[in-house]
Amino acid sequence: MPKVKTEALREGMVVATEVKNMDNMLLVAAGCVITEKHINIFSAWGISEVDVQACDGAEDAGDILQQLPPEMLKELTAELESIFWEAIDISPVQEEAFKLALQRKAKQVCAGTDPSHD
Amino acid sequence: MINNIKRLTEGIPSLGSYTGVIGEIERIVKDPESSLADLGEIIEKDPDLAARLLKLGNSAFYGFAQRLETVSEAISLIGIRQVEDLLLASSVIEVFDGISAIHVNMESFWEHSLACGICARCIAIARQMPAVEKFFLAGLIHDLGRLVLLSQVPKKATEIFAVYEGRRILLRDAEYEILGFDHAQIGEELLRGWQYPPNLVQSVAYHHRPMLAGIFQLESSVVHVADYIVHVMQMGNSGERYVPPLNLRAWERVGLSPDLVESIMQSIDEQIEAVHESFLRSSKGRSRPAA
Repeated sequence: MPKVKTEALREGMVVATEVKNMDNMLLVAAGCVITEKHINIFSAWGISEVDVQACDGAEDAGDILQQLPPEMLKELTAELESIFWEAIDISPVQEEAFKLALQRKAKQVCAGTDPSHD
Repeated sequence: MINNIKRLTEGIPSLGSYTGVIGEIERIVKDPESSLADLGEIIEKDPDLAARLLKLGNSAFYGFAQRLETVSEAISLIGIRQVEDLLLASSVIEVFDGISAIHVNMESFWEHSLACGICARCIAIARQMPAVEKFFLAGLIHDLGRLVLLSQVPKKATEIFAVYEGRRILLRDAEYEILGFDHAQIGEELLRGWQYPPNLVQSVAYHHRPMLAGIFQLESSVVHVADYIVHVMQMGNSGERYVPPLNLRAWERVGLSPDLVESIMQSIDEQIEAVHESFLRSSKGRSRPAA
């Protein structure tokens, strides 16, 4: 189950394994949809990373976009559209390039390695 | 305008420490009585260079089934001309080592350049083109003109970035607006001064306008497509925040299937660390080879 760094968590992701603090107190149960409030709680308790369902099974890059919460997919798509100089549907190669860029971005966000989401 | 470009490149030292080694390689290649062992001896004069060559030879960049133990083995498998191109690549980085630029992170600049080199080489391999290391070198040096610009005329660079950051505009267009020419033309002038072969000079000069590259249209197109793919990957950054336009005629000229792009990206991901290690990390503080 991939872990996502707390600073890379996004609203809409689903907690895969219950999150407890150092005193073994349950902070968030498995299956809970993460909100901003949860992210603040994790930060406050010094939780550095969380198992998240949304990115589970994402080894196959093709799946990752379907598994992302729709809000996050929308956010990442808009972010990439703003940096692609041309429209993305001009030719098959540009369409493919955009899809690959989006998959890459989604993987990085899930892994907490996306520099633009530090 | 041409004089202005010339003036910019005059401040850049000529290729330094490895030109001696490259000169010796040239001499050996032309000498019918020389052997691979002679060539190995020359490279082994610089233990750091020899170690980096072996590291690269044993990495995913080549993916040889057997482990290379000696420089002679590396040369025999990689090829003399190819080794020469790798040495040139190494020497280019050395010329610009230590340059600081306020508008571009140098680590990120070289990451973009190395990734572009790997990508151009992967494309050349996929299209079964000869002398693939030439493509690595071309990709590596495609944006050198921007380093010249940043290091030689920092005030102009600041003007360029002010225009660039204030509007939705490509960085090269901002360069053109302020200087009347862009980094590709500066790179062309620099490489011409270094007496690089015309195919490399033209690949750099026309990497944004590959269809104007005359007889070197294919080489320029490969670098153009490689630059595009690396921008799509957002791997490193040479100053440009946008994924620049892809010239579809250049794409057709290269003749890649869109289905191959993903596997090329995977190859870049697999190779970047080894190439970074071989060309950058160990270059810090290393001694210069004996002349």
